Amino acid sequence: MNNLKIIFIDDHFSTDMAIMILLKEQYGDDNVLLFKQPDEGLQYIVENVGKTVVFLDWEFGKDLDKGFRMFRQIYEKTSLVYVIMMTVKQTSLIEHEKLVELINHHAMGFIDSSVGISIFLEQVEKAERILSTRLDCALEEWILNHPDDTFNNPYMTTRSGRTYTLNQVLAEIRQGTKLGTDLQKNVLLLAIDLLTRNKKQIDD
Amino acid sequence: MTNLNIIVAYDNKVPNLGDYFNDCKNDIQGFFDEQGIKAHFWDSRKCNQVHIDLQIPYFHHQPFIFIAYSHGSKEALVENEVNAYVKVNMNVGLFKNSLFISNACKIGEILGKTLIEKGALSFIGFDTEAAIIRGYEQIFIECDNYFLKLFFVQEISIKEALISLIRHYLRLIDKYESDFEKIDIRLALISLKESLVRLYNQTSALHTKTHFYY
Repeated sequence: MNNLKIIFIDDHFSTDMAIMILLKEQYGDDNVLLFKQPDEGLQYIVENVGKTVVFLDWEFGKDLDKGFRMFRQIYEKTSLVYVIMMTVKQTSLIEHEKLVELINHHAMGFIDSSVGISIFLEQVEKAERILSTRLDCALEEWILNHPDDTFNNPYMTTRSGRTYTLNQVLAEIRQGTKLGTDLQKNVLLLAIDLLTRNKKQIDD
Repeated sequence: MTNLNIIVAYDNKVPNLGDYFNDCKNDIQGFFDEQGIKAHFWDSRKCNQVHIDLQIPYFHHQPFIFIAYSHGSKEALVENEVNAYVKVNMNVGLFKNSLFISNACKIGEILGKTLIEKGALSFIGFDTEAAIIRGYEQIFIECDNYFLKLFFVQEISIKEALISLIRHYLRLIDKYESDFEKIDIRLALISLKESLVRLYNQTSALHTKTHFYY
């Protein structure tokens, strides 16, 4: 199992801030990272897919929506990321359409970047718990354990004739499509079956 | 009482799954040959409405078995993913007296029920878009033909053979229990088991192969 990564993408943060030092002590130096340039942060997330908590600033300099656009790009790439938007804006001032998109794509929280350290720590602990129990994360982790050279091979074919590679299955899970949610449903069905079945009766 | 009317329609030319449907047909054909059972095999060229409408009436005056390895939708069996050859409000009534079996997706939702309403004896199919994991086709072929093989090697009722099929799915799910890499096969099998639709009445549930001999 990969270690949890904690990534801050914020042009106002610095590595000598108390929250960064505390998190590094708790989760390891290599697992707590700060990116002041949002595109570098995005590139790192895409190239190092795994369970990750991202504290993402909403505004970068004069670009008032950069954080929101990055959120969208992250969710197109992976479901293993728990994104917490950092903003001093009141949610009532965020455009309705953007709020809808954030909620529908599971933005996990809003935080005022000036809050105390304990709030950050609570958020990280909560994210760790949630990422370890979400079915889409479990499926994504299972898929990512396959050898790299298998990702573009035909992997499964539905009986309505659609063939998917592992890469495409990943995209379906991340985007929460019918196929993606059906796969999650099958995990639950299997778990329920295994927990409730009387094996003696079956094996007779 | 030595003859059976069995029709096996298989869409071997459809992209993506044509080879799979062909392999399903080869598997059951090999079994029928071993058992000395004669069947009619209709490939993609014969999976069309005209052929069905002309030929099925020669069979449906007595109990017969119709097997389809093909794509499907909620209301139809389709050749090449688009051309319906058995469809609600088109020719479903022709299948009166049939034991209708197919591995097509979704047909359990509407087509199966309509077949029974129009006089089919029993229907066995799926009501979702169950998937086949590439590289492990043999497992899925085995499941798709398990009911038929059991039904013909034993004097067993349709209902009993279907219960055995469910047990077979569960046995296979258990078989890969310790192999984490095969969780996808287990997920596909549980999905097939859950989406299996079995439609019959109190009488037809008790039919054995003897009912289909003439």
